[in-house]
Amino acid sequence: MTVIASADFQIDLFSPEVIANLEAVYKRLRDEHPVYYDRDYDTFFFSRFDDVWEVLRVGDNALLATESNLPTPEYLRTHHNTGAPPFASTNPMAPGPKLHSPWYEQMRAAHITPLRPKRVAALADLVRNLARERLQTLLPQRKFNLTMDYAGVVGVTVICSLFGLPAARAREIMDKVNELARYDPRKSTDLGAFFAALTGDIIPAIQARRAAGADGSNLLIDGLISYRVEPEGRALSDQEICDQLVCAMVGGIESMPKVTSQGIMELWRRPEQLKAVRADLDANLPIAVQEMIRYCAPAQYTFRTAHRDLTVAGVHVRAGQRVASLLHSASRDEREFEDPDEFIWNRPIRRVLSFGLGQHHCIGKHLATLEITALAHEFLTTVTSFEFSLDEAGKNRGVMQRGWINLPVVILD
Amino acid sequence: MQETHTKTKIVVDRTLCDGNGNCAAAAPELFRLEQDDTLKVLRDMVDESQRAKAEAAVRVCPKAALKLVEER
Ligand code: HEM
Ligand code: SF4
Repeated sequence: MTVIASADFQIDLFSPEVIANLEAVYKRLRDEHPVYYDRDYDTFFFSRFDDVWEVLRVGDNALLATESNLPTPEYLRTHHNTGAPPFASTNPMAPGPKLHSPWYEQMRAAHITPLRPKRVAALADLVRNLARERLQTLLPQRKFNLTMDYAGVVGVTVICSLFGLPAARAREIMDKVNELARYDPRKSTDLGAFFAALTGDIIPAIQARRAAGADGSNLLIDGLISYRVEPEGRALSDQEICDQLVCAMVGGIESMPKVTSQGIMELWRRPEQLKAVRADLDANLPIAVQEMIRYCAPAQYTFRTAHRDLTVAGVHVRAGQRVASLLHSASRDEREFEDPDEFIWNRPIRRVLSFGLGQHHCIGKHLATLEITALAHEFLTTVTSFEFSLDEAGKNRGVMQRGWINLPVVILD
Repeated sequence: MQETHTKTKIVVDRTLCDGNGNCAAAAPELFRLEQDDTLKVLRDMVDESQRAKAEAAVRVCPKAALKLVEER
């Protein structure tokens, strides 16, 4: 299935024309050019579910995000590698996503504990109570932004509690992260500046844990403080620890609210489905949430760079070349999902790519799933009748993270 | 090659497994997450009747940490 750029078909996935028409372009790629090679970017784009599945499962340090999992088009155009790039630095320790094995796994293991299934399950009451409190504040307004005012505030408050940051900081941190997600890779040269803006929020949390003795009571941070880089036995600096935690902060705040609000909106758009789900919320909502995640997950793509020659999904990739997994396209692949562009709350879902896969697979999957379920549950039990004011709604139509950032809901009853 | 004696062994790559429990959700008779969130393989040799379950677990493991190895 070697389909390489042909003279008669050339597109630039970062161009405004393509971005304005993404779904149609994804479909054309899946049907006609499932592996599309872009010479300017020296990148293979994979758009089918099966191929993305295969690409993301490649291990053994063959495909890594050393150059960035979200490179800018400018970077891709101006950097063509003649061989494998050097591995990321381990002294100082590079930001988690850029690392190779075994460092990637060690950094992750040092802070994943609070996000594992049992710990997350123990957060159920906290999330439900936050959702209830939020609704009590918001309902008298009769109209509010379901994405940010409701799901967003609850999500960021949970993240603040994991970081040990005061809830009073939540709103400000949320606004910063959303600024980051609005970021347009065509206009700027790197994500670094935005990430740096979060340093000022994360470093004090690390310092507070050091001052408290890092005794293990904060599972997100203490493990990174007590981690030692072997064989030197070197401890990580505040900045190195911060670089490991930025993803959990951004990831924890950005995607979940968009999936929650759009998910509720998709049900509302289809009254017969909303009715069916409501018939037994406890049993049906967890099923509907799987479809919300497939249908609404904002991430469009993730890049890797080949660190050796390899053949993957039928194409030969040389060391230094890049592969891009088009995650959203994969979730809409008709070869994996029947009628993929339809929202069907109880469709069979055999496998998903919405949380990525392989080495970088989403660390927050369990938390996100719990939050979406709890938020939708509280909303649908508290509010009997509602509608969305879609004329006023706002969608992030960028190329990196898409989704409804402003989804005004009107409370009728 | 005596097919009747083929058994399948479940192998976990502990350096990759991050204890996310997707396998235990797909095949609770074969995997369990312990109280400390480490993965326990309940039966590392599976027979024909459990093979489909074991394959489902391999498929859903997001970290590609599971492998089935045929043993005779
Ligand atoms: C519905 C909500 C969410 C979706 C759709 C989502 C999606 C994703 C995807 C697609 C990846 C893979 C990125 C890649 O391969 O480059 C990822 C990774 C990650 N996510 Fe999530 N995520 C969600 C919620 C969360 C939450 C709640 C957290 C934290 C509490 C989180 C933290 C992370 C982290 C730390 C990574 C690893 C990044 C890396 O190593 O490259 N995410 N997520
Ligand atoms: S699904 Fe894979 S990574 Fe997750 S606990 Fe099972 S073996 Fe480990």
